[in-house]
Amino acid sequence: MRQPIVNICLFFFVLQVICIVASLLYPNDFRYVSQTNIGLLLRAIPVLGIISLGVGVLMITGEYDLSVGSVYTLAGYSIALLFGMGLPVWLAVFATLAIAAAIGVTNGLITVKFAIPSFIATMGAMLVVRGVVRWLSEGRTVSFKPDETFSDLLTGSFYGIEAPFIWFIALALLTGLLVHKSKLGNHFYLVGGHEKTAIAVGINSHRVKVIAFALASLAAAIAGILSITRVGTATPAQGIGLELKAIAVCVIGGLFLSGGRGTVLGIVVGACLMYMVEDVLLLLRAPGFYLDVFVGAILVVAVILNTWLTRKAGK
Amino acid sequence: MKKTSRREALASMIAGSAALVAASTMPAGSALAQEEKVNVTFIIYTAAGDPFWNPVIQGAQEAAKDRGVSVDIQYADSDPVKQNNLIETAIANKVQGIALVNWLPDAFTANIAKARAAGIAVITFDTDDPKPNATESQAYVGQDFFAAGQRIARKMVEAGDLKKGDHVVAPVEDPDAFYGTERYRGIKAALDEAGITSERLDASPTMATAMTRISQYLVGRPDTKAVIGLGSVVTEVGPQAAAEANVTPVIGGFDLSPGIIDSILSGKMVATVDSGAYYEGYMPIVMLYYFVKYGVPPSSIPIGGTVIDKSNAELVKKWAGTYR
Repeated sequence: MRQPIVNICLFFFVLQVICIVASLLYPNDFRYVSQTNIGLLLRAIPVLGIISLGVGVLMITGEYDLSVGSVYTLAGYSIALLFGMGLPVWLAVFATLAIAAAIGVTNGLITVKFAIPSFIATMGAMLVVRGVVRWLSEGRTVSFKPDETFSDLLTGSFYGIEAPFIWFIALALLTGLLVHKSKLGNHFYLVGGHEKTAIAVGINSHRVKVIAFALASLAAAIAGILSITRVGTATPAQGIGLELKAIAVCVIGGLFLSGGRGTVLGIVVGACLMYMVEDVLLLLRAPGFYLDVFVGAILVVAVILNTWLTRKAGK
Repeated sequence: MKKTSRREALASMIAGSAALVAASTMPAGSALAQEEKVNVTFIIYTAAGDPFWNPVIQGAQEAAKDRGVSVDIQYADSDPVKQNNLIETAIANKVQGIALVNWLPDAFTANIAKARAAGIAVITFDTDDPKPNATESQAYVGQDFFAAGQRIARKMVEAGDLKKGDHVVAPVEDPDAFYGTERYRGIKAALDEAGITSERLDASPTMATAMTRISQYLVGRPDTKAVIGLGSVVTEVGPQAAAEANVTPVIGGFDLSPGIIDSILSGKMVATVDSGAYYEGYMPIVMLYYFVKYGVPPSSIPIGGTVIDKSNAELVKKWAGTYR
């Protein structure tokens, strides 16, 4: 059977070609290849993309994390408040990542030790972390103005390529190495696809899942740090719905909801496709007020097409 | 150092405890506090955490402290069913007053009538049904969204020298939000008069996403001459979104935050419209108190709607996010 990733990459490639040709033919009406638009895409994709990398790894092990949107928001507040208290910015980053990892480990332990569906365990965490954000923020926005070196490193550009995108690709490569080239990566797939077999061959499935939960939380925190560095401020109400968007990105990228299948390349393409759809619709002047209707419909069509092509190729 | 005997220590402990008990049971010296407190349920329609409500809550709590009101602040999570449940719970608890945001026309009319029939005073704040006397609420404290929309649109036309045929985008955090619909109606009415086209944009309450969407819109429509954010998040990210899209429309919007005020002072934003949030919380509690105690009928108060621009932003800066 043909892998879903092949279809989604083909779909993405064909769309890119169409958009680039259309943009070259009508440069004033469809500014897809304009430098500004490309810069925008390269800044926008990484936030959801990085969260999706973590969520994707967890999905491969057959689990979900609904708390990533809340962790994303908490990370923004954590780094801003710690930095505001006088901590050096890199120490604030380290502390924020440590907090996120602790949340991920807690999610994992609750899920595996108490045999609670991760959907429920992380829904609880989503609400608890959101509550902590409200308590920390007292409902107020927070500003984060680090030094220029830090800002440039996270949100500047290198040789014309936006730094957030470079971070995204670097993290995707690291995740790819971990998932596709390491022993732990093999364990992720085996635990997600055939947990009983994994246990039978001596894999500590609980440990593997806890690591995956920690990675999902860490990814959300990195996205939160990137986001607040780019925008300079955060609100306690932000990040709601990011968890479902990340799952959607993974499904578009060919990951199975049941676990055990999927690739990091699929997650990267899925994230790019998600923002590309939004971007193309806005560039084509689709009614902005009803944008989500179009985005939702196109994404469902993409998944149907992907599934259909995969099944067809398998016959 | 003098050594304290066990008896003396015990005596001071008892005296201290008695003082503590007295302090916790005795009111703070005022005649008002000696009376039984007026119980009020104060219902905010969104989930907790939206910074917009901070001055509203501060106002409600300060009024409660000033007048001897016990105020119970509840959140309806933007769910009309939950809000109706909260109103019914307040009726069942026999509170003496309810202050609520009537953000969805017709959704709370029946329960407002039920509360009034049960002898409970009701005041709406922040948002109300635009139809006069649509509910039995005794008064409304809040902005006239339509008029405020007209006001900011006219300010933007003047500041941006907008002309017939120009285009304006109005991003909003939540496309279903009543404040957005009404403010946009006012904006559109004023812009239509001048022959200027406009469109709403569903942005998102997540700042990074909102910024990207506004930027993408501006890249697709670089002829857009003005961005008018319908709420605080989209207003705050407007200047940065325009910078990322490499265009220079005039920018304005609604509500106050430290970021918005900084943008106005630095010239990146033309103006914003103050919603008078502190009074949205303060006045309903005061009026409910006087109605319950002395039968003084509540009266509608149109608040907010002040245009904040470079001329008066410095005054606002100190208290943005708390009293403003």
